Amino acid sequence: MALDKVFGEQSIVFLKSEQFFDWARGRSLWYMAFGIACCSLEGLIAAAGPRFDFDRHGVFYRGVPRQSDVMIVAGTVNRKMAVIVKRLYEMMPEPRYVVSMGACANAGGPFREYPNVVTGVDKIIPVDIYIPGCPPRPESVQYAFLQLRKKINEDAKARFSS
Amino acid sequence: MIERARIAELLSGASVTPVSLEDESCLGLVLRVAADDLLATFAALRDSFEQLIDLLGADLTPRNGGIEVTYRLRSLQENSDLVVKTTLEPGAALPSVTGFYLSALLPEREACEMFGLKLTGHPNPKHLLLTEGLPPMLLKSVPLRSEEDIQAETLPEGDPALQLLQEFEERGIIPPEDPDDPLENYVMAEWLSPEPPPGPIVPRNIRRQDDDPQSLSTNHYLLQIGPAHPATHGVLNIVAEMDGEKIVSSEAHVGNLHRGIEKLAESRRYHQLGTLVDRGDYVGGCNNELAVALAVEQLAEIEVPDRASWIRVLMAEINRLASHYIWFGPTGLDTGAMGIFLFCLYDRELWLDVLEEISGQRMMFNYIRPGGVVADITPKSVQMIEDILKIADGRLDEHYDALMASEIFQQRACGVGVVSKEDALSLGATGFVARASGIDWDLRRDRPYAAYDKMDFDVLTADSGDVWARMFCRLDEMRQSLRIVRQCLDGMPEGDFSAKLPRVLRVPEGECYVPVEAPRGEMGVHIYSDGTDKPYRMSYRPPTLYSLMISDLTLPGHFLADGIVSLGSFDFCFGEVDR
Repeated sequence: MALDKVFGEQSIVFLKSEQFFDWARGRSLWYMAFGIACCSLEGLIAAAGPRFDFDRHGVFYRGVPRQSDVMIVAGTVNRKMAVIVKRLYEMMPEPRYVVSMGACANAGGPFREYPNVVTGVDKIIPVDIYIPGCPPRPESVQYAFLQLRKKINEDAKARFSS
Repeated sequence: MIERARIAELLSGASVTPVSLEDESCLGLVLRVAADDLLATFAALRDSFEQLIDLLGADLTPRNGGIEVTYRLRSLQENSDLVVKTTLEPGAALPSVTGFYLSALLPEREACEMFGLKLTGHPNPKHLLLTEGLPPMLLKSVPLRSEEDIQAETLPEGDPALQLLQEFEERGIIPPEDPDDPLENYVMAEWLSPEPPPGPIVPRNIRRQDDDPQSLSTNHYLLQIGPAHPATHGVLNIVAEMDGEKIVSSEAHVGNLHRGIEKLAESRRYHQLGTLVDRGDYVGGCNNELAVALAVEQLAEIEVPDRASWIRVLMAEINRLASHYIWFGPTGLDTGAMGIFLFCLYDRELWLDVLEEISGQRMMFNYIRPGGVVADITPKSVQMIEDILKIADGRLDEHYDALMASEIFQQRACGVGVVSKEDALSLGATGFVARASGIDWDLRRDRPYAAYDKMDFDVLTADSGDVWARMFCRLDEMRQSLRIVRQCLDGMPEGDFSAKLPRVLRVPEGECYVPVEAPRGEMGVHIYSDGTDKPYRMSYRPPTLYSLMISDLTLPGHFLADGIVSLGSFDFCFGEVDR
């Protein structure tokens, strides 16, 4: 069992339940299978595919917002879609994280001059990690998830040291 | 070819006096009629031309031309096109031609909202793409946002959840008060008859079967599928009226990814257009770049070196293979087969490696530009392609065995999502949707572009028009693509990979339409040029906008699970449906 490798065999561990959940949370970040545009091919499909194999990081897709921890905003958000993105974010259970993927979700990308396009998804929901690129490669999405895990760990440390 | 004299004869038979009927060099035969004569003209031409291929508007008011609406009619039997143009005053009423060609349903709505026209005689003249409150975006008087506007952008106030609920209410949960009002909601199930109705379609409100003694007295309910649903393959929103598990009627709502590719093209130079259309059909970008490059070359009369044409064909076919894999796998996923999804992604990565080696990108290549291509193919990429070609045919057989040979899949695919030949013709089907319904038409063979006239390949058609036929046709397309890739490697001529062009390309005044056989059907680019370095208007003919209308028509009558399989088999790409 994986816990044995961390704490040694036959050991008994006393810890607060919040600590345990924080430890587990960073290691199974399930993202929502919700692609908007081009970036979804790289960030959701190719990254989950056999070559990049996101599964080995404990990252897997769920079809429902109620079961997911992370939302990858993969593509251009326009005014019609902004309502739905916001609603999906509100349907996710806390704690929830948002990864903004690609130039469009970060700042509107090549379409920012068009009035129908929202210039950056951070105008509607809080964003934890931004990934640059148009589109970013699957590796950069994986790197973003490693950064997100680091961020979760640091948050947990800060909570217990204070 | 349908000659000029025959069209003049048809028109005089219907006592229509055309404004002009001339052969324009880049567009072919162009017929200009007054807006009042439009319906009579279409009535006269309906029997000679089976399909309405493209419909677009253009704002020519700065040139004192009014709003010009262009229809492209096609006769498949005679392999000839006719362009019908009519000019309207800004804000005038455009008579709907949906009574003659059903394929005008969505493009008409789009043209009218984008140019601020009124639509008369249309069963459902709602907005299609734009969010409510925006002006008609493609008018020349409507500017793009400046940097200051972007910095100052704020979003409309209000609780999004409440807004959404209100939106659903507006979409027709409440039955309309007056069922004969053409502005009210309608169902597409009424159009399943093989003959399109003679006049404009009479809309119906959503039916309730509470009074039917034979039914199980379940109330019908509305089901929202999408836009955040993994099985819609994008941001499609389908509002389906359900009777238990069965879809009674459905309507597709699009516009969730509308980002103004056509408007932005007017502020880009000709070299930069490839960047925009790449993000249209983002799965098969090379074919879109090819269409733009061919259109610009046709207008500017640029001679392309032989080697460049061959490299273009090579890239277009590799991209087609990569695009088909991303469709074949997920179609299996729709029926519950997980393994084939992973197999197909594995193969797709092999081809993406080749594309990356040649163009430097896994997607959004921006590789084919006016004049030729950006860089020559490298010996390493040739070696990579040869390595893949050794196994690719066998891998396709394995994919067939893994998915299509399975009896479970056959039961899910055969007889599901049937599109008859008449529906396919009337709704403007092109590409594999048309071929699976028995229409023998392939632009690569019938109107060869680039170096396709030197390639040897077959075009497979099927008659049944169901999901199985579409899968079979496309699997064969992949085999033919492999053949073409092999021929490209064997016969690649020596020479330059690009013509010498000035840094800023100025294109003489004119207008042209160039279609290419993209992975999803006919992708066409219609460019108006005014002699400067930027296009005056660029229109993009998205093949999947037309397949979307076809899928809307086939959904009613299916179980929900079968409807999802049927949807997946049309291979929508919402970057190009919404543009």
